[in-house]
Amino acid sequence: MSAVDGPEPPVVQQIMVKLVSSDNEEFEVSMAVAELSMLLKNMLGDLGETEDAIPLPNVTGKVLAKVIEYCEHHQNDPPLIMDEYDDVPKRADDIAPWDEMFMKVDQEMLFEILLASNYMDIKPLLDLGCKTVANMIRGKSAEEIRKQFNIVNDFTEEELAQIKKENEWAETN
Amino acid sequence: MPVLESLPQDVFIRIAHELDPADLTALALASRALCSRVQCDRLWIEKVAQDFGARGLALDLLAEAGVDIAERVDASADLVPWQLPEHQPDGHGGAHGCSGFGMQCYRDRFLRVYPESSDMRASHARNAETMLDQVKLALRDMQQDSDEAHAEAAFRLVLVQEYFPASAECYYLWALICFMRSALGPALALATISHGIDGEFAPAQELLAAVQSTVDSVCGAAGEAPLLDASCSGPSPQLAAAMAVAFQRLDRDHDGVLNAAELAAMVRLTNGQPVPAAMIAQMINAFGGHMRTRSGHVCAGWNLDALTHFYVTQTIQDPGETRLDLERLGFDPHTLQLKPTPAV
Repeated sequence: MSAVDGPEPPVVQQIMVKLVSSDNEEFEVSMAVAELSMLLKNMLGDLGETEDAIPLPNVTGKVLAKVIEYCEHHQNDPPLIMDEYDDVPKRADDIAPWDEMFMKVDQEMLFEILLASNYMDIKPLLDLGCKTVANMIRGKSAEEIRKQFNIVNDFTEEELAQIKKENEWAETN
Repeated sequence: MPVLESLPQDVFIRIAHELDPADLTALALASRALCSRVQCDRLWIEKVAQDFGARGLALDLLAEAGVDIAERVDASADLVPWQLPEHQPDGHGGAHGCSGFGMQCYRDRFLRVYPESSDMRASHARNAETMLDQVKLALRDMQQDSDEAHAEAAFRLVLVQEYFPASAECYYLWALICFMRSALGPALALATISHGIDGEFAPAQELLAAVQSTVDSVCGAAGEAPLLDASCSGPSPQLAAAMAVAFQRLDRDHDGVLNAAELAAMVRLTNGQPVPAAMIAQMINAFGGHMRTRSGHVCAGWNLDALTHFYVTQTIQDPGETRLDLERLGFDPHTLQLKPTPAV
């Protein structure tokens, strides 16, 4: 038998999935990357292997590119173990350096990522976004929070005094 | 353009999980929109569970061990509500009710856990100490299988946990109650929480080791067939199969029931010595009873279910003993396969 007839060396064929953003930008990602999104995982489970592009009408191309960047970096992470016995409050001081850099974006993009990860059901990215926002709030006064997030104070002085009074207990710790 | 004030409430609650009450107050003071976001009932009720211990989980695990005190806890006037009422009238807030109920629950509990005066703190500590001593005493003197006493002890621990949510001792004693009731899964989970709260707390360490070694032995070491199913409450397929074979062999008259004489022979074989008839009668009452034989007679004894039930119960208490018994009954203690009969 000649060598020519021998079996081809096995090629690891990565199954690719096509995604289309709200502004019709097309992205191609591997199945492993797409499946970090529970929304896509469920859709792909229903559709089976498909050539058709999956539309994501709530996410723009700019944001989707960012989300895909996150998923590609984290595609080989061990699956999240839901530790239901762990009732020690989780606090936002455990962000990995790569994730911290990744989140150095303007506020519009930050909130867009939050919305997209919520919609696409990517829990680790949603957690990262929430921790990032929480870090921007923690330890600040109301005035500092307004400044940070461009919020207009629409309270009267009396209303502010009332809320402060109702929440006195929280300051005692 | 999305802003903090326009995030979906689910996302807002996730952010709130990361923050302290003082931070949430600052948020509420920033604007009307944020204030109404912060006043969400569900947000505060979730924070109660997050900051003051997973009581719901503990109650579920206790219920799994047959100590169902959920109703009593819900009805107790000594506890601050820790769940939203089931039929919550949906306020004008639409998707998120903001009646103030949730925040009030959190505040009341917060003030119990972090009392304002040191006198109050000392008095809470004294009460908890007394309560824990009572519980420990009750558990020590307890007759076995005392459902009511276990429920009483478990409920008192809820009263302690109300003021001291991070009490490793509470979770340890809950775990101990489950272990006393042979509920290995719940015991393991609660002992793990106790150990997680305080890694130095020796009783939890010891209990965890004891439960773990029972579970390991029940599940079998590497290459060993497990004795019980995954929930540690019924026989593994291997044990069930071995029981079926053992039953055939022990049922010498093949009438489908192990009568007193056949049971006495079994105990003699596994224990190596004869036992009094009274003990056989006791075993029949505890696991079997009046059984119908194949030919339609009724006689006192064990059917296959009773035999299996006996061995599941024994396994939870002493898995090593079960493997030893199986060996004496002619099985390989590791694989639970019938050993080839040696040629005579």
